[in-house]
Amino acid sequence: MTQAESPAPDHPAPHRNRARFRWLLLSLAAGPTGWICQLVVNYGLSSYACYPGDTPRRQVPLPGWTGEHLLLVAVNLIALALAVAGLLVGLVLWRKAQAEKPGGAEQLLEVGEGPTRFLASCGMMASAAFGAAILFNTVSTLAAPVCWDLTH
Amino acid sequence: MSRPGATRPDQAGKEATWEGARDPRIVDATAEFPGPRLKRIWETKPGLLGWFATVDHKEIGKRYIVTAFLMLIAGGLEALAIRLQLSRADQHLLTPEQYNQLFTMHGVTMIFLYASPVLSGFSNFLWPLLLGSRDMAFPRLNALSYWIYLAAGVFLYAGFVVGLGPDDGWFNYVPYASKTFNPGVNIDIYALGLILLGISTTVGSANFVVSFLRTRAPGMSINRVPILTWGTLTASAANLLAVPSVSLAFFLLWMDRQFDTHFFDASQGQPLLWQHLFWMFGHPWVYAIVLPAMGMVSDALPTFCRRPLVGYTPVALSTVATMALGFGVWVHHMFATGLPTVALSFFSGASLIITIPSAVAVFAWTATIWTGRPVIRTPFLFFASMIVLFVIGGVSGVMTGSVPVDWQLTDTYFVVAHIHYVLIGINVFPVIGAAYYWFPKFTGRMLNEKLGQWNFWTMFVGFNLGFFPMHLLGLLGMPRRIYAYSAGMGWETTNLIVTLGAFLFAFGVLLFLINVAWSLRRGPAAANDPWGGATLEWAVASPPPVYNFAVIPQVVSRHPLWEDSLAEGEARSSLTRGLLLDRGRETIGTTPLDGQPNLILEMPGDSLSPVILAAGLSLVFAAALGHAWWLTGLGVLICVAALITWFWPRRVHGDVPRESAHG
Repeated sequence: MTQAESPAPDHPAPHRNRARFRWLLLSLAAGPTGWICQLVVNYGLSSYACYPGDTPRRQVPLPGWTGEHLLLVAVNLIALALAVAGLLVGLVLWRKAQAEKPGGAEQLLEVGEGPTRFLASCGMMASAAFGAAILFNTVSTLAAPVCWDLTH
Repeated sequence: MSRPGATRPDQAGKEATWEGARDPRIVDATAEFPGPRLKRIWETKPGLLGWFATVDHKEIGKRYIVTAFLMLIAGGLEALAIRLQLSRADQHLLTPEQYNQLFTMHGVTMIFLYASPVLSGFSNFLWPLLLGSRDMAFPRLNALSYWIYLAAGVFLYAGFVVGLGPDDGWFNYVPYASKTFNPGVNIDIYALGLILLGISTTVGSANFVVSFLRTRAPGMSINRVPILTWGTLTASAANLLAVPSVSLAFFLLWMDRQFDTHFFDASQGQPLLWQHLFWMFGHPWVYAIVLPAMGMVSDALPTFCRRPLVGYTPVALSTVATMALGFGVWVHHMFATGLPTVALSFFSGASLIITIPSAVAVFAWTATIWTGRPVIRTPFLFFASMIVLFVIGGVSGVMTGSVPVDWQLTDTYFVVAHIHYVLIGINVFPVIGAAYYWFPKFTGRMLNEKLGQWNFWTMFVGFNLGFFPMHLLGLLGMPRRIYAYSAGMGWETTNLIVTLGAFLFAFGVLLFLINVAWSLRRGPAAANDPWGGATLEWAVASPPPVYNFAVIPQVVSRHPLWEDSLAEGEARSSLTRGLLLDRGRETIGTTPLDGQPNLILEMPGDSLSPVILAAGLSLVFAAALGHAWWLTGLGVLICVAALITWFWPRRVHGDVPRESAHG
């Protein structure tokens, strides 16, 4: 088919009204944001708890605040919740926009047509991948509490 | 015609309305119209003034590439001198001070002055052509970025040629870099030079981000952009976040050295603060200098496999995810500094998990080759070999990402092997492949294929001969950065092999340069699309006209030139019929997500302001080096004058501009 015979191009995002940009952004950013916050807070709090060197702060003992283990748990769970929220929002947006262009998920992965469903699927995948990273960090924090005791 | 973007709802559900002062016409481009008129509008005046004033992205791109290759040659010669020194035990070809300066300048040159700028060069040349635009969003900012890069390169080398170059490694650790242990001007040159270079990187990155968001062809929605643009966009966004960290670090160090502040003073400050600030920048930077190169492979490799890239969506996402994860791994450069072990585990985890998005790209390239019909030409060889080298460098990276393994390997030649597999494997090899691929578009001539095959195999064999044995040297305990070693350590034979491999690799690079020199004069003329590529740059002449596109193309897919063969839909991209923008230097502005046209961008013309501003900034930094404060003041005045002329209100043509690209 020549360019002259080609039908007028459709709008590239016919389902753009089904997904507000702020929700797409939330889905895309929630996982990475949760992960980087968890990483930085875990690093700071675990360094605080293990001081000096690898000695638990409580054993020294050193003056100062001692509630770091509770904050660690809270931040890890919040980070995990952020990733799950991103995944769910992405899933909802994906369901709304999955028929934006012909072909299903396989076609989307291969060709990428339909920007709304493209962004929604990226949000889902990013949330899932960063959620996995957050989960591993959370497990290591809670299951191997080197310098803190979660029972106290 | 109807207004190009009238009453189109955007992604936020609002109506994206046409904001331009006039409606552009849609016309058919012919040989006579509107090319000659556009040529008069866009061409640069001949002569020296025109040469300095040009803001043409293609010229700037080529200057970036040529300058970066000159830096590659300089850094390569430094490496060869290092290898000669280490080829035998107890060698004394160089003095220890010369050796320190050589390995420092080698790292500085390759990482700061070659690897990133060469990618900026390719992206500067290619982006508007890939995106269907007539220039970058801020052409003058583009010129400024190049001139400052050139000035920073000269600045950094000025000390080296008189024996006062940086001599503390490219990482420049304190307290070795403090005034107490390094009283000369060497480190001050490095500190000020890097801050100057940071300005270039920052303005260039801002330009790429805005160009991506606003200057794509109509219809080029965010899911239809080439992977190269994803790579450069991601790297640019990362640079905007990472460069301030290193600029601040070098500024504080300069303050410590010149004004006796104590930011990094071991007795009163925090030497580890330097490492944090440096590596918060340094590791994202490593990804910034490989992701655009990976993007070039993702876009060019499919041409030789005669099929689109497998898994566009995951590859695009993995590009962004790699960069995001890259911000959370900086502490793996500091595993041996005595930080609490449990804190290290988080960064070890992040360093291991980054293999997932990297593996996505590797599997996508492999599947593209596996399911395609590969045509073995020189660019293909470079791209395919990059996959192998990437895997080797990635695996050794995983090893050093593990804390206990890193404790054994840190500061050994194993790490030298790793960084070279990553940076040469994922930067130099793709760049040379990309040079073969896009040389016809740059120059209108093809590179010699037979010489190209010799070029590839010499580089590939030389590289692996030179760098793979370094893993072994590291495992045998040879420390990195040592000036000489004693006989009987068991390292002599391997070091000699490494040196021979390095020279063979350098000979391979020389063959490439010979090929370029020969082909510029005698290479066969290139057609518009000599490889059968899929993207928009192949729709224009080789080399492209100064205005890029006679009419702004309308895009309906990710591979506009393969639509007939792929038959993915009925609609076809319109390449010869499109928006006519001929009332001055104009290009179309489109919406960030859907690529819908909504205004005419009036582009600035050629100007001497960028080069004058760069000269003023250079004077500021050079004078600060010598504490010549009155000269610093003069430099500031020059900068102010350049900025006033830069932003002086102008009326490009009869229209009242709604939005001018002042950059």
